[in-house]
Amino acid sequence: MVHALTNAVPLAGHGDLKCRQVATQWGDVGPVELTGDLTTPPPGSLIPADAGWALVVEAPAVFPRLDRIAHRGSLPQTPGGLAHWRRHLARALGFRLQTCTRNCIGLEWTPAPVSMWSVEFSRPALRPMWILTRSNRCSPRGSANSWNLSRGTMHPNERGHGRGSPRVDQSAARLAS
Amino acid sequence: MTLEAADAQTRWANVTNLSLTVHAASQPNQTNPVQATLVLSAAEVRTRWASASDLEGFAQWFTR
Repeated sequence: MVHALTNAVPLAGHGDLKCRQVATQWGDVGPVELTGDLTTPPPGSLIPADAGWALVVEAPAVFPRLDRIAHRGSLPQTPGGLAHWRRHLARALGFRLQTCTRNCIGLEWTPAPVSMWSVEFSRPALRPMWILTRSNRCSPRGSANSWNLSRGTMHPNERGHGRGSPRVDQSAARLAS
Repeated sequence: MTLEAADAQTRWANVTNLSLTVHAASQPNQTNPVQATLVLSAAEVRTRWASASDLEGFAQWFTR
């Protein structure tokens, strides 16, 4: 008999997914064997989180430590397409590809330094919008009606200002039209 | 809980020969921790974006 379920996020877990063949419009893969493990980090083993983590701090329970996602089997036969796209996506999200054995790829996730861009519109009906990019990798330009573009930075080792709001760089670009 | 279906169609995916078993149980002498196990198999899963054949899944997790 279960009396209460106070935290639905797993403290530990293990999962396997096997397919003989997976077909998408970008490429075919098969056979595929995915393995994932979740564990609760030992106390004191993680970088202390603060408001500088912004979105991550807002939902800390959603991010248990991802120990391993392993892929076994043949890789997609589109080296210039899907593999290229996957490599850039992994880099953008902070994943680090690890080659463990032949035909096996491991993913290790670490919080990546990112930049937050806030776009505030002059029309009160439009809510401010946050855009997350890798630090120093993006320089958005453009204009639409009337809006302000501010750049803040967010890094696990930096302290943020105010819960849930990124630190805004005072030298932020200010664009209006 | 066990669910078996020879042919299942939803707005998200079509599945043939689906077998899904979920088992959740509390620990001895502990009322809140739950250990759950999920076993899934399907001959074919077809979604709007991808299709997979001979699918086998297993998951086990511990929550409190």
